Amino acid sequence: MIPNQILIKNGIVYDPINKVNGEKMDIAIKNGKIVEISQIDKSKAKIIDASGKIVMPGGVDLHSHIAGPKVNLGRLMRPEDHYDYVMKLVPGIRRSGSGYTVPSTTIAGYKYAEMGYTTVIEPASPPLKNRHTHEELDDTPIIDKAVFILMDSNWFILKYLESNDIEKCAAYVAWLLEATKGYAIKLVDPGVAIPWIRGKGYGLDLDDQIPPFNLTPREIVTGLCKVNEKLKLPHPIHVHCNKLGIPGNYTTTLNTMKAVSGLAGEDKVAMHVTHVQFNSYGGVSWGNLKSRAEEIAKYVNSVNHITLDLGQIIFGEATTMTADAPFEFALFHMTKWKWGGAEVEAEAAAGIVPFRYKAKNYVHAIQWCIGLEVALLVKNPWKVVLTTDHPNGGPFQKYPEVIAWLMSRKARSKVIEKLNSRALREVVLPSIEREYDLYEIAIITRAGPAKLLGLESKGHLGIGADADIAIYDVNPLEVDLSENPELIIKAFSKALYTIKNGEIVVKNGEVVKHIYGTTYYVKAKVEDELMNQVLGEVKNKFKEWYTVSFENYEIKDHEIRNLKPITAGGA
Amino acid sequence: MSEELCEIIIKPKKAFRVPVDMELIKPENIAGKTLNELLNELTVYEGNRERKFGELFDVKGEPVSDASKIRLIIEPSTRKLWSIGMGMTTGEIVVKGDAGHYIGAKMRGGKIVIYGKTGSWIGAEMSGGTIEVHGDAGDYVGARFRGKGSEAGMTGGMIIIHGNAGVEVGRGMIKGTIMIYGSCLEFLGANMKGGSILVKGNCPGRVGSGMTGGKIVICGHVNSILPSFYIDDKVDKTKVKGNVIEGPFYLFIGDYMAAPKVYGRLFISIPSNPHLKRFLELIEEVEA
Repeated sequence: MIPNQILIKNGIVYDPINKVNGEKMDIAIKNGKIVEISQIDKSKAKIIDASGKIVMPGGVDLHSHIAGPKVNLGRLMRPEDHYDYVMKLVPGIRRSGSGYTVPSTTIAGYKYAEMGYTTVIEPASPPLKNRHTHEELDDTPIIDKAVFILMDSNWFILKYLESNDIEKCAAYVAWLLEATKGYAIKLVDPGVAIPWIRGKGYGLDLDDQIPPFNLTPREIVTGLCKVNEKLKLPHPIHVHCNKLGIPGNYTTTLNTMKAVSGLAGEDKVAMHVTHVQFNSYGGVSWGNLKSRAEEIAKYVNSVNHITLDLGQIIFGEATTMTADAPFEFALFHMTKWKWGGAEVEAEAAAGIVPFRYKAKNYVHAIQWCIGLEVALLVKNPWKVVLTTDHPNGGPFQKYPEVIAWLMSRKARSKVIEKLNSRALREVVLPSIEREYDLYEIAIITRAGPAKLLGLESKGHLGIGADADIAIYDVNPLEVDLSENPELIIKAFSKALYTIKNGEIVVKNGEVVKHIYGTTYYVKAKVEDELMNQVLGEVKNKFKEWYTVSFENYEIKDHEIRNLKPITAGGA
Repeated sequence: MSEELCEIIIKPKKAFRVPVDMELIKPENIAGKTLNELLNELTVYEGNRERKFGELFDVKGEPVSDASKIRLIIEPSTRKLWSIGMGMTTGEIVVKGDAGHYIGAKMRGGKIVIYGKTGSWIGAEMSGGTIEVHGDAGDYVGARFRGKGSEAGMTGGMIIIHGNAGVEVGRGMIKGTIMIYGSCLEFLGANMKGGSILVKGNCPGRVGSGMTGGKIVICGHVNSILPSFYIDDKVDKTKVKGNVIEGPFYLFIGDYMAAPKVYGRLFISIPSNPHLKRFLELIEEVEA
């Protein structure tokens, strides 16, 4: 085989992990890795002239519902989402697909690649149905992927936490991650699936009891945070806080953040608070909803153990889907259209409700402002990750618009003009002057999430990194992007080149090659004796409780294409 | 419309074994093109294969530049020709023979006449124009597509069916007229919000389920009325699109399962439905 060599010449490189800020440099690729320029044979290498173009590491999205049983239920529920968004088959190059807010696997992979994203994480999968999630991810082309496993309502974990047995709980979590080939601990409205079994649980707060367990969500969060610390997992606990989407919930969010303070080491992230926009509400009802982005940002600025992702909303179609089933049920009563509920039997819970965000709606206008306020008020961009919580806030295809809003006050004010006028009196967004630069955008879309996920070969362009590279056709040295937001949207929607594992997969914004990425999972180390003891207990309960046998529950290595373990704790 | 229409005759070259999607073959796409352009530039899908129009069809006639003066005649047509006149805005299409699904779906203007049977989704979500079927139609005549919310549905235009129709005629209809001279099946006018439907024949039941507005007139036999409809009055005649329909009719209001305040009106023929006599007694009781 002839080694695949590419030389990207004269690009304007943004690589925050290696502190490269808009410098003109060459990047050499050999066998899917970034190498020293001297190591490639310039006469044989394919040369890409990137002069006057932005070169960034491939994008990393750590929270996007693109696969799994509830995404699939969303697809079933929304045929109307698929009529008008069809991607045709191009024989030999790409497969067909359809769907906008809940697209088929192929569209998800291709569209991400077209935007220059190369790593995407499915953030919530019930462990029992994780085989399905992996089958869908296996079918998702181009991007690298991983799955976060829902653990907050898992019977075993709750039993161990109830008896305050962190050791055994950690052993179980380690087994569960390896058995389901998961990547990190995901908590969704911690503990909510337990009352939801009885049709309750809406507005469950941090210190409410969740019978039949003698536990509160606070104990679940802190317990799993300790487990995470004990196992030294690469990603901190990924938390969707309690009371999501309920006015006045910002205090719960702050209390959750405070609860894990000091549980991780100095300067180490203990908790990632996801789609914080939905958790930063003041007021007591939808009628007087307030933005509390300032309070959230103030706290996050003052500590080092919290990171956030935005969950920015986009006006237009969305499909809300979360493992917070009671909230979805309440939302259904607001929209009065369609609702799907599932997975209560699969160690979690889920709800799906189609939704449309409107600029003239008071609540939606405030939600739109909150996401951007958080992003702009948190001073350190390494603490922020750009997401729309696809498809809850809006489809991921709209990321370029979010980038434009963050980079350009002009782009923001264009939207602000159209917003509900009453909402504008309640928000501080119009007065915020900060504009992100490309270096900061590279942090929140690539370097930051890659670092947060502990993927050492992703999110940067240093020697030895995976050759996942995006080249965007816009020259930041010649045009002032903040004055020309339409150029940002144009450039970031359709990458000039996307290179994945050293192969050109996108050229001029069109997919030119269909390849499959890697699926990452975490292997955590636990003493054999403890593990055997815990597995003994688990096996007994499997006979009692489960619809599948212990042997069939574990996903075997051969079931997944390109599986790659990441060893927890490094090395 | 003047009689001097430019007639273009389209003839299939073979008997199709898989559906052929005719969405692009409509007067506005044909107007102003030479015969050569028409045969080589327009494309149709035969199954999943994209074909030049000229590969599958013979065409006679030279199109004029004014789309509203064009009459496309498809002869002979078969059940395999789908989406004829889908989204058309002007002109006329005459189909001699059977036709497949989605005929005139999302249509905005113009006229389609079919001399034969058709498949499902005739005039689904149309907003203007006329469709006339001299034969039976399939299911979902003038209905809204699957999964759409209450904002979607037929918003205008007229569908006339001289034969029978299937289930869910006019589902989610907002405006416009559907006239069926034969009978139809269950869920006539389900989730209807406005517009009017006339059925000269019979209907098995579940008429107007979930309707909140609009008007349904049934001259034939109806097996039963949903319990969420209230009897309101007895009327001698009613009008559909200006045509007087002689009764007498029971007038029901419903469907009260759909909303607390509803305006859906159901006119059911009294002579054809002797089994609904108890409603007559209720009206007389109140009047007395």
